[in-house]
Amino acid sequence: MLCQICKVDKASVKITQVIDDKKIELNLCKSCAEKKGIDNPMTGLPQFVGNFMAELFGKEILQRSAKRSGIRCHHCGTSWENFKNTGLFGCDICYQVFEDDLKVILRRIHGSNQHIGSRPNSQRTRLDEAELERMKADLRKAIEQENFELAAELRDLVRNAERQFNKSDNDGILR
Amino acid sequence: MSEIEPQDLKGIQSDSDYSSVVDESLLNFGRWLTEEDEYSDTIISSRIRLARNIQGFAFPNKATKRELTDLIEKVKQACSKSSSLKKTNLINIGKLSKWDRKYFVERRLASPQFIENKIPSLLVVGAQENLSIMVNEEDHLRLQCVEPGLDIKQAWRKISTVEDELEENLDFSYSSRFGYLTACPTNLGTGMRVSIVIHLPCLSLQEKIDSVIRDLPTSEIAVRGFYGEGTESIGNIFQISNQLTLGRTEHSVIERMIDIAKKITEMERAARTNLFESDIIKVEDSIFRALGTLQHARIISSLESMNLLSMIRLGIELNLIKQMSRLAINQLMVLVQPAHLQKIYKKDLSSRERDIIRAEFIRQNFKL
Repeated sequence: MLCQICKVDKASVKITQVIDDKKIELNLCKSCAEKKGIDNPMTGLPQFVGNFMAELFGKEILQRSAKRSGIRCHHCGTSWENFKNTGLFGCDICYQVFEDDLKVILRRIHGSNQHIGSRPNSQRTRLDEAELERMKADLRKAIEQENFELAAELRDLVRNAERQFNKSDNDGILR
Repeated sequence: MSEIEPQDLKGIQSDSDYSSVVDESLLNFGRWLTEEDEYSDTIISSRIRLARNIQGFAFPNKATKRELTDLIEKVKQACSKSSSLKKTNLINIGKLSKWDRKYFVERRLASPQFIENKIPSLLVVGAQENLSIMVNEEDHLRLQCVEPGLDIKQAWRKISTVEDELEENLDFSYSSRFGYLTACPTNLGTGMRVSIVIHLPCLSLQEKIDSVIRDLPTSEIAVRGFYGEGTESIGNIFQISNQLTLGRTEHSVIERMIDIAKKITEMERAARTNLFESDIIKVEDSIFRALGTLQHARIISSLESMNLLSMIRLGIELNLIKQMSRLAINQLMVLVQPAHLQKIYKKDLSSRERDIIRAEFIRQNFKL
């Protein structure tokens, strides 16, 4: 097999990555592997991009979104077409512009499209959607367990939170 | 790139002449190469990497040169105010020679993509070589911490502290829906990638690796292996890393990775015990042949030396080789890489010359 980078020399190093039950292989010759700095299993490994992107995101989803191909990010100019080719967005505003398509893709990549991890210090006192969802879940649980005292308390909290949430025109992106 | 005035830096060295520091620090290994924990018989190191971007700047793939240079200055200022980053080296990657750049990859302080960067970029390296920050890789910031064995929690504590300190002077791009915003949506959410380097010689020898990988939850984690010609993996070293960054907390991902790494370690340990019950003479033969080759070879490639060093490491674990420590082997695995040899012998070598010098260097270190 020829090296997938130079397409001249015989491949002598194979790097495999197993993800989502799919095995992806990269076959390189010694000199290309060395040039790319990926001849050593102890160090960083190459990112699998390009064709791999389509596999990861699902071809049909990327195709289905083709009708949106005219849309560009008004801030950095990145189009859906650019994203399909590189797998990269150009700025944080892209996430607003392409939000609807992304929600589907993210569910496919991560099995979720809602962040529940840590947040910047400036955001730690502010309520977010994930927290509201957690409070609602606690409320449901309290009702199921017939702990009505706790449920009443939680209901008030959720109501207040929802009021607060609807008041702020929070589109999610910080500027 | 303009330099910050020295008085602003408070202990941070200027990046004008790092190459002199490289020579001195060749043996100043990070903790992952000098310390061990109870999992070091299989796990070489654990790394946490956080991807962060800064509000108001386009991501590196879209930003102008001017924007990226301004961003570097902003990051330098923030680093100078962080107490965890005192005595840090700031390295202007663009000013380094090809081999100096590769050196940082072999050292696990930078990624292969980063050193090929054609845009203004900065590498921040902690004094202990366990912390580093790549500025303007795929994202504005890639913070990483490498710790020995399975000490992921220690890596998390350190990286969180650095992040908190930087945050006092930098506003990270964040949305309550998608979490930390990254150039590639595969990093979205926590932006956290945990990656564990694990040595599995016995599972490889017994051809059990494929079934081990098949049983892992590959929807959550990725397994990467290196193979030479044929089916044998190079150095029997594998990397496992988490795949999912959105919809899970950092804590749950870390716990899950520790759990998976422990399970793989148990399987490798069981395979090592089984060796004694089966064909131990065959394994002993491979280990001592590896030792013989390393002691006498006159020309050796980087890949062959990785394979043989892996067998020596197994020999140490099985108590067949007592004269060397596994830490010494881990260090040799780094020192025999091309850029390290260039630095040790201080000249520009061809690939063949390097193979000859590598054999010489190993012979000197294998006087058993």
